[in-house]
Amino acid sequence: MALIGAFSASAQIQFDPKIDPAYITDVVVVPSSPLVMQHLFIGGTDLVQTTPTYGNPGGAFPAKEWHDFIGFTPDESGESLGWITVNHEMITQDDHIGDGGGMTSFKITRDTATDTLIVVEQTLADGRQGKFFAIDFVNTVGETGMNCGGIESSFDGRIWTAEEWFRGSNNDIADRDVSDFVIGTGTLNGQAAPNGFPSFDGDTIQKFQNFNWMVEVDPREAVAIRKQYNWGRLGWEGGCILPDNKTVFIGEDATPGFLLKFVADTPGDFTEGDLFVYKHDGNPSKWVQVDNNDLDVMLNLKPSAVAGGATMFNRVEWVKYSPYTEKVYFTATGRDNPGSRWADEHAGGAVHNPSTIARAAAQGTHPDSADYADYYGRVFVLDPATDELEVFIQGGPDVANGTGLGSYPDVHLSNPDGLGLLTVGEKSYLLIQEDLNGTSYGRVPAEINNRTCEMYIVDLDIENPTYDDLVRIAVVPSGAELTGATSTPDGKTLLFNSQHPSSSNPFPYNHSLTVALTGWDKLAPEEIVYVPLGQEELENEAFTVYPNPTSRMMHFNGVQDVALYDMNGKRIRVARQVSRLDIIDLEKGVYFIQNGEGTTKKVVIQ
Amino acid sequence: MPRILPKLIVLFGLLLYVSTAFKPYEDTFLTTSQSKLLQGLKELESTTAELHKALSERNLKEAQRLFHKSRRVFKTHEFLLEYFHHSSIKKRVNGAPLPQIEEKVADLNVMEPQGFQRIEELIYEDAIDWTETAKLAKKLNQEISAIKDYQPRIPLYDRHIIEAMRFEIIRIYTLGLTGFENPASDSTMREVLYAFQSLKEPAIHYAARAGVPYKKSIEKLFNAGIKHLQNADFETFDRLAFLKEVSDPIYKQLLEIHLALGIETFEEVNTAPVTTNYSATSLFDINLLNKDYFLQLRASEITPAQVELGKLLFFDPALSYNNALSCSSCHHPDKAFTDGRAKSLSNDSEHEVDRNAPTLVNALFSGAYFHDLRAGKIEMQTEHVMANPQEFNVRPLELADKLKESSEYVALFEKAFPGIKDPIQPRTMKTSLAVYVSSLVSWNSPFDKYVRGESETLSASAQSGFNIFMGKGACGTCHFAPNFNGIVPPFYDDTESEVLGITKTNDTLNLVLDEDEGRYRNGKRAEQAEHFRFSMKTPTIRNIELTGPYFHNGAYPTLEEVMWFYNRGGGQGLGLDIPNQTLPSDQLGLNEKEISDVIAFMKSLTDIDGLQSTPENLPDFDNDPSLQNRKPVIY
Repeated sequence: MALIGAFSASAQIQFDPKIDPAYITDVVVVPSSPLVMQHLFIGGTDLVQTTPTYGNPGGAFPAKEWHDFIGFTPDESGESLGWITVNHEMITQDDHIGDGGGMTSFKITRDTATDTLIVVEQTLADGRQGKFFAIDFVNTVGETGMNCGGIESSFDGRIWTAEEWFRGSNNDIADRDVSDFVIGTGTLNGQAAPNGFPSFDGDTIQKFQNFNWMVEVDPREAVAIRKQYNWGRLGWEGGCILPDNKTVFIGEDATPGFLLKFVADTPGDFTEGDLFVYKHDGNPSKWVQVDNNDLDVMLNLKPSAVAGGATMFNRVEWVKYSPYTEKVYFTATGRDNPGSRWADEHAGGAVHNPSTIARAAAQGTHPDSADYADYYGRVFVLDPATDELEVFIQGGPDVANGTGLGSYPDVHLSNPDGLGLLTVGEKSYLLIQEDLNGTSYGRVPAEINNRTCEMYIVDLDIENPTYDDLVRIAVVPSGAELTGATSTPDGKTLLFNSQHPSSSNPFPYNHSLTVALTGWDKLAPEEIVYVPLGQEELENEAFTVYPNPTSRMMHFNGVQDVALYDMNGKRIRVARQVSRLDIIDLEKGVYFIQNGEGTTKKVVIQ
Repeated sequence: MPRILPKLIVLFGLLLYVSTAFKPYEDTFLTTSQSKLLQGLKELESTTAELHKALSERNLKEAQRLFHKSRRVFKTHEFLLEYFHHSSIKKRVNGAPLPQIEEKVADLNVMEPQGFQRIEELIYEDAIDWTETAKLAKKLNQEISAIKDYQPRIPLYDRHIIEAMRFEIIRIYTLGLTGFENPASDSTMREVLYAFQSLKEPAIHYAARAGVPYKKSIEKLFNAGIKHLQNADFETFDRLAFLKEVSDPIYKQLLEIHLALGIETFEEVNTAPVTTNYSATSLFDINLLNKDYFLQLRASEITPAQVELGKLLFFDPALSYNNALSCSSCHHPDKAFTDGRAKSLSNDSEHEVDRNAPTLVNALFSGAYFHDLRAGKIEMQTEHVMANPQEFNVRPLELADKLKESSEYVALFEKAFPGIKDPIQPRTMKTSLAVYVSSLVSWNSPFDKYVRGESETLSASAQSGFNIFMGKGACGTCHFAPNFNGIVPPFYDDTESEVLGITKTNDTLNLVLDEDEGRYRNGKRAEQAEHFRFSMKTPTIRNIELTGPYFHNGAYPTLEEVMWFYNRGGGQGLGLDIPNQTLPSDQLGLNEKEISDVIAFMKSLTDIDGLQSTPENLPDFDNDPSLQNRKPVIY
């Protein structure tokens, strides 16, 4: 028997290149997706209204690209649904939008008949008219750059954009004006900032030092408000604001990356308050205070974090607060061999988080060693009530974690980056977006060298989710990155960006896109997150296909080999040792699916 | 009774499928292949550990022995390791001995050279840096261990092995035989033989399954190949004969076997376009490189109306702000879309632009555009030409408004982009031009036809020149076949640039380094790394006969002078101080005959047939007298 077992393990099912589909009567219907997809905002194509900039008159110019964070600000007046803000993670010279990166804002309403979104015309206080508006950073806060993540306040939808790529000198910036910057003024034409920054107004810094802050913007009037000089200068990526409207968590995309907390003295006034860095082994408090009244400390925050013995993470990306679980989720996306990047900081007093130490131990090494590998990253969860930190889900397939045979794409989560939340009725979900750092060790199918990033949804009621609980809901064109996931508070629409796709995707996929997926409110939880039956039970059944029209996946009873044929019986796809098959790119029509035992079913994709 | 009959037929149909579809191939080949690979990785893990030990003990002889022992194991399993672990191998095991930029991180992190090729350089240096070399051996060993731990998690299927073999055939030919991987020792031919021999057994296994004639034929081809390679001399090896008699026929037959066995191919498993078409049957197959991958549009979506529109735009001086320049002003069809000038004339017809106009023929097949690689997509190329004050000097939106004044253009755009409202837009202009440029494809030069067996004639000098180009001359280690440019085989997803130390002029008595810093100043923060200073894209040498003068600055008018420059070891070989030069600075030692042979080979790559058609007239502008009666710019 053992011998037969060995033989059958090595044998490979051969699917006929062609079948005669005439007699196949068993039909599986895949209903059309209940979700409606819209392309709301196309970078490089849609025109944004600009303010007079660098002496050039305002006008309409193609939006910048490389969409990243999306903010949603609800319209409390009820006149519209609210405002969407989209980051442009780039540095480029632009005479009209301004040098560096940027952000675009627009206002939406819902079509009462179809529930789809409509971008509405607006007239702003400064006289600009149109649909899309370049947020003015030049005349308000002195330009911006590499706008990646950001903050969408869970209290009222106030928006901050993060300036990620850490600059060390004026050579690192795309700005043409590199003269010193006086806080509280704009650049070039010297227009005063609307608010300035109370405690630092009038202080002079070098131009590059005016980057790598969190920057608050006003989505309604499409202007920047202030750079958050009292939160410190780091390569910020994501953040969140708690419902108390006082507590802010922000994370740094670097190795080491730190997690910080700001607590405002007065709710809603983020110009005054205390700043802390997270130290998991701190006693009695896990938060070490940093002097945020000293501009020199703020300009170079890292030494204070290291000296304070802060906890180090491998590239903190997005940070989200879930009002549903009352917890803070954040990603540490990973970096293949981080050892040399944080050994000095470790020696200087900063500490490794327990999950890093455990991973390194499982690999038989130390986090500071060159052979410590962190290929897949993870999502952390922090309870703000107790400050306890845990891994929410570890990326993988991971040798060190001892998980089973990695058969892509069934079992994997690689380099989680963006996080979003979606609440539909009573249920709340976390959206996890990948941004692959590399293609080795199972981050893509073994022989593929292109990156294809995916977005997963996971039910927040699941205590310790595993890969099997992740449901893929979007995949972007090859070479692109999925970013910015957020949702409208009514639970109807999910918003996300497809960023800097590669050259081989047809228009409009060759531009950065803001996509709206509407219709979630009409779905029952089991339609969103498909829960397969127990594997054993399934494997005893005859070949069964369970389509999920939302995720565009066909699930099978148990792991097996399958082949898909077109309506003429020509084999068009083969998948081996899978429990599901992705049909997202298939046209509507008739197909046939056969499993390894030769059972064939007709599939009607609607 | 008649009512039951159809049901019976249905039942019969179902039974029929049950009986024929379940036919696993009952043998242990896949299991054996996986265990052999794991065994190989274990051996490699231990030989690299021993290598580290020998280097730590400063035992040079032992280190060199263990290095070559490790290489032998690596080469024997290379086809599967490269297939499954390409990015690890490239970054940490067998990549070029050059600094690399860490991808996808929020700062500029330059990783120092590592892996086999760097270690080889170091252990053949006169004064060995023992500590550094031992450290690199340790790193290599750690990466091998990681791959060894991961490999059992990859289920092995028949298509993997056949596909891996086909990629390996191209790798052996383009990277192995050119000496790309062995910068310091003379082990190239030996290593090629290890890699080639490792394919014999799996190839025969699948051939046998496909039938006796396949088995006989494959066996014969491998035996012939081994005969070619045994005791072969790197400099005299007949690469052309090996291509025509061994490598291309094996590449083709493995595909036939794959299809004959009914095994699914790569294209049925993955839907995203990849760089090569699996159906190609030769390294010089017209369809080897996949247009879908390199262009934003799928080739099947391109319409003749778009190409025709793109052609009109290409020759139309109305695209520049002062109606003085068209694309064709600097890209003349008869010169393979170059202009014969060192540097092209700017829109004032007096000054010169900064660099030499490169050929557009086969330009599509690249991961980056312009000499400094600043544009990542062919569509973006046009944007730069429009924005350049010396060139079109026009904003795309303004240009779109200008073209809208021509009802003829409006009609042409409507025809080319049906369904798009108000179709004259920056993106449709860019797409049309890109589509036209991507139609400028040439794979039918005398050399291509000879290699594919479509013609019997290629001069003895060109034949010898190809062998030198791919061997002793080391040209093929940067100008990779089949496009002879910087996209790296066999996956062609990486575009290289090189620091050659190009001089300002060809004045050999007064050599001065050209100041153009190339890639270092391409505006991409992530590429502003010291090793990219003076780095320039590796252009195709196809149609080189027509594209002089040469280099990014056009400083070298003739191919003879270009060959002189390379033969002397580039700028550094000529005595200039260029610490980051990627071209080896030692003399190539090519004699006059060899140089003229290489030139004869390069001249056999000329093919601009079918790319010469030009528009007779341009669309009229309804109301603008300054644009009436303008003619296509044709030289």
